[in-house]
Amino acid sequence: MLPNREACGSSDIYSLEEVSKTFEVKSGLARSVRAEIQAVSGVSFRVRPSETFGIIGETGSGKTTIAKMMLLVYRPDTGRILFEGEDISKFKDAQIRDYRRKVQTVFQDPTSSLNPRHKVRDLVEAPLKIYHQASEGKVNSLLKLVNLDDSYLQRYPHTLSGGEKQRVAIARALALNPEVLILDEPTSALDVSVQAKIIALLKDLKTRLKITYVFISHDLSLVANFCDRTLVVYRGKMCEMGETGEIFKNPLHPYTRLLLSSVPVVSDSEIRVKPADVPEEIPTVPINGHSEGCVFRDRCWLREDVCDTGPKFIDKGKEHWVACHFA
Amino acid sequence: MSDSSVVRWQNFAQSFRRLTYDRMALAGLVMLAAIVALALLAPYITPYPNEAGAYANFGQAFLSPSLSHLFGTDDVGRDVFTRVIFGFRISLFIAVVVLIPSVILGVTLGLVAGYYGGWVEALVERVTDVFLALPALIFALVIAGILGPSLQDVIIALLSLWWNWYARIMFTLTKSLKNQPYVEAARVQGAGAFRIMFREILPNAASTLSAKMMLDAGFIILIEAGMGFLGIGVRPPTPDLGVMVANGSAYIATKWWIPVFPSIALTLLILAFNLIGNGIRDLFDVKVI
Repeated sequence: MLPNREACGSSDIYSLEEVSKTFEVKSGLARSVRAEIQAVSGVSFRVRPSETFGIIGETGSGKTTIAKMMLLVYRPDTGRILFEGEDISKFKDAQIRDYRRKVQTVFQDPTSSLNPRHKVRDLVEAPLKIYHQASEGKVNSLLKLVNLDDSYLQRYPHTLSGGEKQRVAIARALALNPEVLILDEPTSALDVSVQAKIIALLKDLKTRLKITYVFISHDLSLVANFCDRTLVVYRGKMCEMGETGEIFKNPLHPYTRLLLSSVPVVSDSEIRVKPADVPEEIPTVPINGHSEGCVFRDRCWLREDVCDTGPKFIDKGKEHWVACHFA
Repeated sequence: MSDSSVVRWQNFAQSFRRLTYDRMALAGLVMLAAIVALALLAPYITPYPNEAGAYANFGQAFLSPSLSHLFGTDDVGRDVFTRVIFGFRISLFIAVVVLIPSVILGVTLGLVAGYYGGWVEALVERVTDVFLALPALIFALVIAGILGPSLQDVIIALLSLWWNWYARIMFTLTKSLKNQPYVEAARVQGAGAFRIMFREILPNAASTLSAKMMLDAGFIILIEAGMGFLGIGVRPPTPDLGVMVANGSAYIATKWWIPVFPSIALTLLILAFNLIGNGIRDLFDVKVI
């Protein structure tokens, strides 16, 4: 029933099992809890070796929280995150160190993720120094890998363009030969033309270095172009998961269809790809009671009473998973 | 290693060059350089180096400014110019001796408190609260009452108060800087706490700290002179600008050069530090708390 049972077991790089995370909003003198925000709830998926696994959803859907839990920035409230079969929240210091070496990340905004006081050389060399692997020429070869030449070594981030900065961030992430690269919207802060170059670079690096990518994005066309399998999340819950091509050809969840229909198109051939049943305007209905119902029912045009009880995340065949009563 | 120290020197030289584009800051730098040179070379510049401290020659007392005595002579016949440039030594010495340990201690504590939070933060905050509640001059009076007035009690009083400011500033800076994505990036890369505090956070606080240090240097010199003036700091016959102003003030109406030249010297020294501090602040666009 759970996607944990899909495919094989121990060969997976990552296996998330029913992972949930709630943030408490505290305020007032006594720092009492005013509200709880369920950022991620009951998320389970597996990442296979050297695949590109996409996580897609709009702002606030919990995709970055998932990434940060995988990066050991947050700890899940419930559920487990297994990396190569081992629970990462049970890691001791030495294992955490080893894990951090194997799993590197590229952040959304290269301007804020590169220390403005460090030069390119120091930025790329930092992970090497942490793990005592710094050596002559290593930084140069890393820069070469992301198509930057040696003239960048002595430059500060503020003298670089957005695309160049992100290349430096990628070079830094690759410094320790990681097994997994978690890419949290690596192109969303860049111009469209630069986006394409960075994606091409990431694809090229993947074929050369055999890294597993976890690619987080809100941009459907990027995911369609880049990811082998895709998970669609909405308000911290899983809506749909499967082969990227299958999801785009045959979107089963109304939210996925809404996302697909909202992609701006420039030609007739693109319009044909769009799902036909999504109405122009969808009135939002406030959800009352039944917190365990489908999270999308406030915006869903298919909504019925049955949606007040949560749809199960089930396999509709061809490993195409969906959580919708009408799928 | 030598490679990166060369780079660091180039960075410093580059910032320094940019600072000199600011005319006021350049004026401050020139003034400070001149004062430091006068203080360091004092015994070689003045023809009367022995007149700086305990010396009396009533035969040449109260001489007005002339070529042989640029700033005139005081009530016991000492050359005022000599005493002024030796006085710079005390002022600069106080500024360095108070600032450097204050910055090292305060910045380290502020970094640790801001980075770790929790009880470390609470402890550092409460301790600094207590010290910051004490006014510097009153505190120095108490110390002077216990130890007897001397240069030492000025240093003890200022040191025990001053590090608190740096702990506070560094604490506030760390609190905001530690949430920067580049700090998170370093943590995710596997960097340890020490590396994050001193390599990632501290360099981003350097401009605020250096502007604050320059402004503080002037302030410390002023407080030290004030304590000398009140008789709770350095004691005569040591050539201290504050003491010279205090003793000379009796002659302001008749022998004006005795208090006026030390006053001008003090003003220029403090002004130099303030101009440099403002220049650094404008250069890096930092807010000095």
